[in-house]
Amino acid sequence: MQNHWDEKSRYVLLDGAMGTVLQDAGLPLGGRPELLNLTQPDLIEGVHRRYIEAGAQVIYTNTFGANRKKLAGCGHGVEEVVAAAVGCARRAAAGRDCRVALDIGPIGELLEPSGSLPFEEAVDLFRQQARAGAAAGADLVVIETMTDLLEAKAAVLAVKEVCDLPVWVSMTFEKSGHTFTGVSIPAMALTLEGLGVQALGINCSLSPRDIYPLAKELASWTDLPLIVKANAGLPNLEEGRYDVSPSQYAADLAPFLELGVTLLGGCCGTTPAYIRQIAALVEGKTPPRRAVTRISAVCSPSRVVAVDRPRVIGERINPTGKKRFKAALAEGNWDYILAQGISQARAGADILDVNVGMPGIDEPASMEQAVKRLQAILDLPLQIDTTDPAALERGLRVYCGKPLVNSVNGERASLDRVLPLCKKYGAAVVGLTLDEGGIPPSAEGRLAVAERIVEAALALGIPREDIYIDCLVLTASAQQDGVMETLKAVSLVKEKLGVKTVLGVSNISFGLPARELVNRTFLAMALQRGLDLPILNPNAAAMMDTVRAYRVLANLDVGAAGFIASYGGERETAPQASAPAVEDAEAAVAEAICSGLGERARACTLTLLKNHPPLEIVNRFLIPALDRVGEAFERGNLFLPQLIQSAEAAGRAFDAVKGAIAAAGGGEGGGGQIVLATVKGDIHDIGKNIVKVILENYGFSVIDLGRDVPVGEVVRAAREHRVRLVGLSALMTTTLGSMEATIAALKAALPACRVMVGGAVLTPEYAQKIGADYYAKDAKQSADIAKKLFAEEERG
Amino acid sequence: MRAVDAASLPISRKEMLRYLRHRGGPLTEEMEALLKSCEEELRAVARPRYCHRFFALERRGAALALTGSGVLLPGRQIAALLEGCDGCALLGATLGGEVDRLIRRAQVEQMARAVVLDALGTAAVEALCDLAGEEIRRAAAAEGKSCTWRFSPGYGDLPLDCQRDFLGLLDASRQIGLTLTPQLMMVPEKSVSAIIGVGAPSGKGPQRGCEGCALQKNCVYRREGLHCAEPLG
Repeated sequence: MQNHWDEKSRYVLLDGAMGTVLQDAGLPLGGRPELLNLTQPDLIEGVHRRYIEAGAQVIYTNTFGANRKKLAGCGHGVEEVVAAAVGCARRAAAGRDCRVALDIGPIGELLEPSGSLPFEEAVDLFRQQARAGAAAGADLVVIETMTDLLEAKAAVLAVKEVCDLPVWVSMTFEKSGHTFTGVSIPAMALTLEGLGVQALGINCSLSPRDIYPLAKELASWTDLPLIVKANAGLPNLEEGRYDVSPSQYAADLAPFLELGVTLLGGCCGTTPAYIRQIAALVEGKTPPRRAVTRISAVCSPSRVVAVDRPRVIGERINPTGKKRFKAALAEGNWDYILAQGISQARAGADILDVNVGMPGIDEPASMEQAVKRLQAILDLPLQIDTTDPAALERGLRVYCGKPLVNSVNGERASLDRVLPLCKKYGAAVVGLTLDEGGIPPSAEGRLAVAERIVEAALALGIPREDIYIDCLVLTASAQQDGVMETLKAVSLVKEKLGVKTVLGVSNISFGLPARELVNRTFLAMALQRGLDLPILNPNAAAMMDTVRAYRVLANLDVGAAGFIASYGGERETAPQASAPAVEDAEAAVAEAICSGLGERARACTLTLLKNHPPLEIVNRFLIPALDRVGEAFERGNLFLPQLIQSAEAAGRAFDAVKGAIAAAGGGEGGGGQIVLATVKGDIHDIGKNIVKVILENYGFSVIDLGRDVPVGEVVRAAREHRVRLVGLSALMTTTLGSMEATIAALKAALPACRVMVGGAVLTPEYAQKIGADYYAKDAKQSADIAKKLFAEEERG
Repeated sequence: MRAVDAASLPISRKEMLRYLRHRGGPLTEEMEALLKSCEEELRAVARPRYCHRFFALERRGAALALTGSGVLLPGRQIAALLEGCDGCALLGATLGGEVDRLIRRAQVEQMARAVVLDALGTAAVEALCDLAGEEIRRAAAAEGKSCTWRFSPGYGDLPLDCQRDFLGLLDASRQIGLTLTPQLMMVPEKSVSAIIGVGAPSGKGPQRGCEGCALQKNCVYRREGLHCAEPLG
């Protein structure tokens, strides 16, 4: 059962640095301070006592690095160290008005997708610490010095999953107001508040003066109790002291009191003397009341989208009705899907809808992949769009930031399944105004369903500003009288319920000609009625134009600054590639490939298709052109970016050919399939990706398993696709072992399959030693190997 | 910890072109434009930072060690490099995680850009290390000492494992956000860890060049009878 201490209406003193005090006492560098809980408990207890005597009311246990990874090899386990640490603190705090906080610091490795630590492994590491701390009698848990928001999330979830103790989180920022991984203050506030922490704040790295502007910003985003534990300035290497004195430190903290920061202590460089000064500072004072304006917002770690004007949700990541998308999803061709995300971002989408629901695939796993991969390259917040609760939870778990969930509806089953997930993971939620009775035909009917959804959400503790209502767009062609009802419902919902609204705009025109005309007109009407989040195709310029114009007309884009930025200059029109005359096309296509001109190569190919069979074009024009480019590269007349641009240009030409073959009813046919992977333990993949581009643009079909691929998965993919050739890449000497193991497993399972290897540390000798069939010194050679192999197979 | 302004980091075009297998000669207008726009993009998102720390050196048995820590420096080549040195500086440097993201994104959109950005990133982090090296050299000179060139874990016979030790002593994850994967890969990727000898180096150690390099058997330059310190062709 949680105890409720009041951290808003009184100041609470935290402690200062453990490390600084220990170093002063002569502890050598680079050791594990956590082990002192076992080897010198009196020393640790003594430090805690001194802080309590100086006035500390919360002491952090000496467990900053007490996780399984950091303790590996020291001969002691997490449970043992944590129990000892909490013991030291409890003994020091006995009989005093002082709480013991289990201190959890960063794991020391970055989580996927930037690093290689899987999310669930991080959660598990934190769970172990939290369980041990709770069992040993900690009063609360403080997660501190975090720079990665996803890691902080893993820690918060872990603690909440094993105990009921209050959770505090503080993160470490640079002067710029971002952490090393780019997390902004508002993103931290929105995300952690959503996850249900009891207090949050800033610690380490900066002096009080440098933290002040950050704390001021933080105080405007949340009314949770705020923590500040600054460094005592910078270490002065000569004197071994930090350059801000105890009295200066306290004086510099005075402005924080006016901000309403109530949880005050010190980080690196501080000692009990600092805490004594802070105690004197807050003596007899009462914190001011804080009130924060609640706003509707979603975020990624580095970008907050406040819904204070219409914001666009890009709808293109959705397999429905999209053949190519479905194929990409089924094949695991994530590049195609990511490219959709990037193009929507460039077109001006504010949020991206992510839907990967389609029969025949593992939707929960795909949703997790989609969220991770999109967040690895884009900073737009995401809307997790699924009807499968398992997929929803997988996506919510790994999402970093505060997402939107699409959707819950008025059906009891939906409310019971979806809302608790949104609450647990701190997501904003879109509610559809339909229920067991279907979609109410009248606006009032939809309002009634909306009301029930809002009430159910509020009852669970989801705040009103995080509830968005979608009054549902039916098609104008089938239900023409429904259009105005939807718009009326939007107004009613805004007015009566005070929530933001969402609509999937594109539905309106289904079945009508001139769809874009209908869509953009409806969009303008809906915006005027109070639509906040239109879901639409941002690549449709007319739709974005309407949104931007509306923002000006509704006096939201003040001074039309945004509008002028978008439209003021000359609109660049992409130069149209002209289709050359037939006689010239043969030479022109080769030239286009050599010059890396994709559009032109494609146009030339289309011309050639008029009187050449597709495969002849490939064998007579495209491949020889690529070969010439490759030779020029070998000779040094071209360099790498040109080789790649040529390969990509050839790829455009190949696409045109494939299109023609498909249109004529031909099968996929072509160059043969190759599995590519960067081996287990290795996360460098640019070299492998270059090989992929080259191979694909020579007409091979590449199954790209990605990076850090387990041995078993390579074998499985090779077997499933019945490939003749597998390409493996590794950059580091430390991962050559994985490569050897992968080859051995492949040879055992699929003796007929050949393996080519490449990567900076490989040599022809080593490649042979580990059982590879071919060594590719670069991407061009990998293509040569593939061509030779498949030609042999054809002949043989 | 030092933060360096990305806009002013002196990135060597020559280095960058070398990584891109450019053999000299003029660039097309299109390539110039590509290089220029990639450089702008990289500079806009990079957050170059480095941290360093001085240690005295001592002998512990057969190996050299960093005084005040448990860290040993095994291998012949580091010993040769540090001959005559009474101390050293450890260095950690990074361009930050946004550069990794930029390159990842470019790989999806336009691989040619990705390759250029990757080469730029490598050249940029080397430039950052050069700046750090200058600061270290100045500090050493103030005490009448000189420095060796920088040597990294994984070079020659200095084990890659040392990377963990170096970054641990530098408290690199807290100072500059630099971490390691279990396979000793640095994250962010465009990062370097190194050791520079300080004192009165004898200069007999491995020369800057092939002998100290892990790639010497597989080097594209050596294949043509050249060195990476020289332009090809």
